Amino acid sequence: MQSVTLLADRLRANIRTVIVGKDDVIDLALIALLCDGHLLLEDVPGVGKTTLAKTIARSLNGVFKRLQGAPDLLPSDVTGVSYFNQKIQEFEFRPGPVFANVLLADEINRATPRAQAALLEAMQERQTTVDGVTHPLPKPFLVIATQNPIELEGTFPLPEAQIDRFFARLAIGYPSEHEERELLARYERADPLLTLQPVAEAAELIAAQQAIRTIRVERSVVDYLLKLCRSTRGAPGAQLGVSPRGSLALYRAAQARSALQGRDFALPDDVKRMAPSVLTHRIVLDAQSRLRNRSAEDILREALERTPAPVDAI
Amino acid sequence: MSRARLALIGLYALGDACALAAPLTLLGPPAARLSLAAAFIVVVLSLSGTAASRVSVVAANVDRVPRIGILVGLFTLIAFLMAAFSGRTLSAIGIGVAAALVLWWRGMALGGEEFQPDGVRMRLWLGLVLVAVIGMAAAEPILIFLFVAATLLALHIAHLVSVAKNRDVDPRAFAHPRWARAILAIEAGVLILLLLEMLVFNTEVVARIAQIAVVALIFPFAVLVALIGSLILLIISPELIAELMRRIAEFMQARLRAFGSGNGAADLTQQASDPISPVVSVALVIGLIIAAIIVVVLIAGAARVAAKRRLARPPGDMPEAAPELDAETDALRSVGGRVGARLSKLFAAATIRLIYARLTAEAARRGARRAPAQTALEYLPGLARVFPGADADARRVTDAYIAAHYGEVPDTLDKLRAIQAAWARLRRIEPPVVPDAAPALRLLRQTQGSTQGSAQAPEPPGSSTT
Repeated sequence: MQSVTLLADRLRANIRTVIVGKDDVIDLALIALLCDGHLLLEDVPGVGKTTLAKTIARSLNGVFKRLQGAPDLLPSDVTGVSYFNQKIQEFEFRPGPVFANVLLADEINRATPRAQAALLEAMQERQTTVDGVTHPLPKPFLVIATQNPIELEGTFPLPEAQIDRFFARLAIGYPSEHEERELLARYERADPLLTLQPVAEAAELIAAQQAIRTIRVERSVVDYLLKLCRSTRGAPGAQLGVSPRGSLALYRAAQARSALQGRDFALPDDVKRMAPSVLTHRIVLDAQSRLRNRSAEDILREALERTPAPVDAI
Repeated sequence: MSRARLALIGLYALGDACALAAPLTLLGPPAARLSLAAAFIVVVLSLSGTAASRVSVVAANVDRVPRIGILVGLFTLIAFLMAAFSGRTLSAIGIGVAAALVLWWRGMALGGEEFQPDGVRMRLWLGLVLVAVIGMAAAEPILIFLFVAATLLALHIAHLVSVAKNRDVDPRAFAHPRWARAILAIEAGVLILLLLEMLVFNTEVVARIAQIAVVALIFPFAVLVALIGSLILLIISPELIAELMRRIAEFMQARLRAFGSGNGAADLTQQASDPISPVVSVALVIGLIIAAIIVVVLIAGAARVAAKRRLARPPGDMPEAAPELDAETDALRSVGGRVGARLSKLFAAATIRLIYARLTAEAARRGARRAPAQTALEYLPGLARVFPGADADARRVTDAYIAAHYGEVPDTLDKLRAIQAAWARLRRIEPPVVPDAAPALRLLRQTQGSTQGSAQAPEPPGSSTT
């Protein structure tokens, strides 16, 4: 487990050279990375969503591609296209940006549903099918998508099926005054992102992802996790609760958080701490809740308060 | 052929007989079935005879063709005898020949085996499971003890041969008094256990436990065998397999019927006629547990005394062949040590969890009840509040509890002692003094009474308590 902690420390230190403060967000992003999950960064413009995504991507020594969400983006712009090569008189496949270790899908909600759907197979099955031929994607494969929840004009909200494929949804939030001052000082002369060097190999990340799966999750913690996830299904105000994919993601997230903290076993606290980032985007509110301005966070908070923690008592 | 090898073959044959004799009694139609003793003798003779023949013809440097002729002739003889025992139907003769083939093949294997100590040790562990299952199914616990005694002796002889080969020393056990003493002690221990078992467990209780074990262990196995048999039937459909399946079904039905009627001991052992009263059964089980505890305590005490003596002995006093001779004892001790260490860790974990539960109960009594959704770490500030000045101890107990409950068991017993000490310190801490609200409330009531005349102010909830 020490190798995982060391890898995370290296990545964290590297990301901190660009991102000021926001240690929690960096840790959550690292957890998603270690769990082989995709990240959805959702926040207002200008808080550093794209910068964080690019920093993570550049910290890994792998193939990095970028996809800019726009209404004219076509599915073939995502997956690639088969074209007729006149020289060799055969159809040839030209891979799209999805064939990368890290894919930054910037402003994903500006792409049309067709283009968004092109990512579905890639995100879940780590492969893409073009003209009936299935092409496996490189390993590791990580999608970091960003979207702006405020400016909705000309956007296409992600469908539930696609949102569920994101391991975690993170909001970065505004920096504190001290952090903003530090940010100004750091970016005064040059953009630190331009000189950022990779600190981890793809193989190292794959090994760490395998190691994470060996973290012990005691039966009572598993029961707690299941109760929590199941209690969101049919909860008042929720049209859809957490999917089984969400339960699995929470399980992995708890394992990864334990590893980051140097433990080889997961605690109920890991489940509780990871639940908001991993579960809230999977909960769909019903019409009444939306009218009453309730949020998925409220429903999850209530579920957390309802679910008894596995602690011995006399 | 060395005497040691012959002895090993004989002991192995004895051990195999423990495993094979019980199923062999099923051979043939009911009228012609072998008794357990006869089956036992048949197996021992067949295995040791075949093995010894093979060793002899190889040692005598007989040519290959006559050698094969001799050994095949031996098989024919065993097969003829088995078929004769099995009755006259074609299927029974077939089963008898198949059993003869199994015995012959096993005997041939024994004749060629090298009997390395590691292999014998492995046989001891693996064979125990098989013999225990078969021994219980046949309600013959003596099979288990016979197997253990024979295999332990085989282990010692194999070890002796191995040491003699490597060190060029006298292979006779009695040339090494210390070793001979160890062998005698272990064999005596097995016999004492057997006697204790006979005293505490009478045959009826053994039969009852065997029945339960049959249902629990053999039934799924029989279902599996039946499934595999059915599959084979689908493919080749021979008469022999149908007959075998029928016999297994009969065997199982008889035992299940016996179990259902509550008079299984009589059916299984054909000795007892009345069911055992539940009170007697409970008394016997309690007696067995007490006997087991006494045996464990005696063994632990003897081990401690032996360890003290060993430490007290001067280093030059050790026998020459001690490293090899002690290897086996060390291996057994390491297995025992691992089991003991695991048990002590489990005990430590259970104690730590109990201490934490008591701590939370005490904290609740002092006014900091844990909310059901609160985790142990979230509850830590509450503990610190009601155990003022003992944050470190509360943290230590909580951390130990978290590790014991959600992680692996604690590494050492020292940690447990540290936790017990922390809990003792926490218990001694006086509860924090909560300001008494009663005088202030009384004053408030008096003030309200004076302003509102005779109107009675409502009793504030909890005003009588602090």
